[in-house]
Amino acid sequence: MSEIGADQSKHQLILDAVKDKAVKNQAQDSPDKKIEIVVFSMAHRYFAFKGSGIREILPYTPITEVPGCPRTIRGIINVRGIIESVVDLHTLLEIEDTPTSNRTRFILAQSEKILSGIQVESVEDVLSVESNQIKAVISTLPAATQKYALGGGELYKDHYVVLLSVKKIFTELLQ
Amino acid sequence: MENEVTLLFFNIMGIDFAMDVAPVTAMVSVESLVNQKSGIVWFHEKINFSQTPVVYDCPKALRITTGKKQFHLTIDNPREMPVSICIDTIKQFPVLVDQFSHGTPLWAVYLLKDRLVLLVDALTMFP
Repeated sequence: MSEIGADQSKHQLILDAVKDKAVKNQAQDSPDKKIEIVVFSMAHRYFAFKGSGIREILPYTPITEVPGCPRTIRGIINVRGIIESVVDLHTLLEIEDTPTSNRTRFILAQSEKILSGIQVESVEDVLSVESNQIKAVISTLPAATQKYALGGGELYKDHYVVLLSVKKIFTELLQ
Repeated sequence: MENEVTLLFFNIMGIDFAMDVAPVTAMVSVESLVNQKSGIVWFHEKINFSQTPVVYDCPKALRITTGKKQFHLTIDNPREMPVSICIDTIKQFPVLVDQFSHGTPLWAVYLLKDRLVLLVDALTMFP
C-alpha cells in the first residue's frame, strides 16, 4: 500500500473510532435523548437494532440458497423485484437455530452502502427509549454476542435486551 | 450488444439455475457418455453445494463448445425449451453475496415469476 493509501486508511480508522465513541457517549450520557429500537427475539433471548438503521420488517418468504456462501448468509430473497441477501443471525451469534414459523421475520437493515435482510425468530416491538437506559455491554454476555453489541438494558417488559450493531454485523460479513 | 439472451433452465437439489444456450451444441443422455474417459464435468464439481451428497434425479449432459474446445457438463432436470429473456431483467447479486460469487461460475440472478434463478457461466466450467 502507498503511504497516501496507508495514511487514508489510518485516518479512516481514527474517524471510525471517533464516530463510535460519539455514538456510545450519545447513547449513554444524554438523558433526554430518545432513540427508537426494534426489539426481536432469538432462542428466548431479546435483542434490538437501532430503528435508524432499519428500512422495513418483512414477513418470511422462502430463501434461495446461493452455493458458495458461508453459513452466515442464508441466501437471497426477492423484495418487490429487488434481490436482497439474508443474514443468518443464529450462526453469527452462535445460538441454537429454530424452524421458521409464522412469527419469523426479515429485518431489512442498512449500514452505509450495504442493505440486507436479517432473519429473526420474531419481532416483538418497536420502542422509543431514553438513551441513558442503554448501558455498556455486560461482560457476562457470550463472546459471540459481545462482538456485535453496542450496549444493553432492561428495555422490554423487564427483559434484558442486547442492542446490536448492524454496522458491526455487516463489517464482519464483508471479506 | 444484444438485448436478449436465451437461457436453458435446470434445477439441482431444489435450486433453480440457468445458462446461456449459445455455447450449448447438444443435450445427450448421461448413458451415452459411459465410454468417454475425460471431458465430463458434473455440475456439483464446480459449484459448492452446502448439502451433500448432491443427488441427480434426471441428469442430462450438455455439450459445451467454444472454438475448438468442448466438454460435457452434466446437469439435472433441464427444461425442454430454452427461454429468451430481456437482459434488463437480470439482477446483480447483493453486495454480501456478490463477494462469494467471484471466481465461481455464478454471475447474476434472474427473477422468474416468484422464483430466483441463479445464472451460471458454462464457459468457466471447463475441466
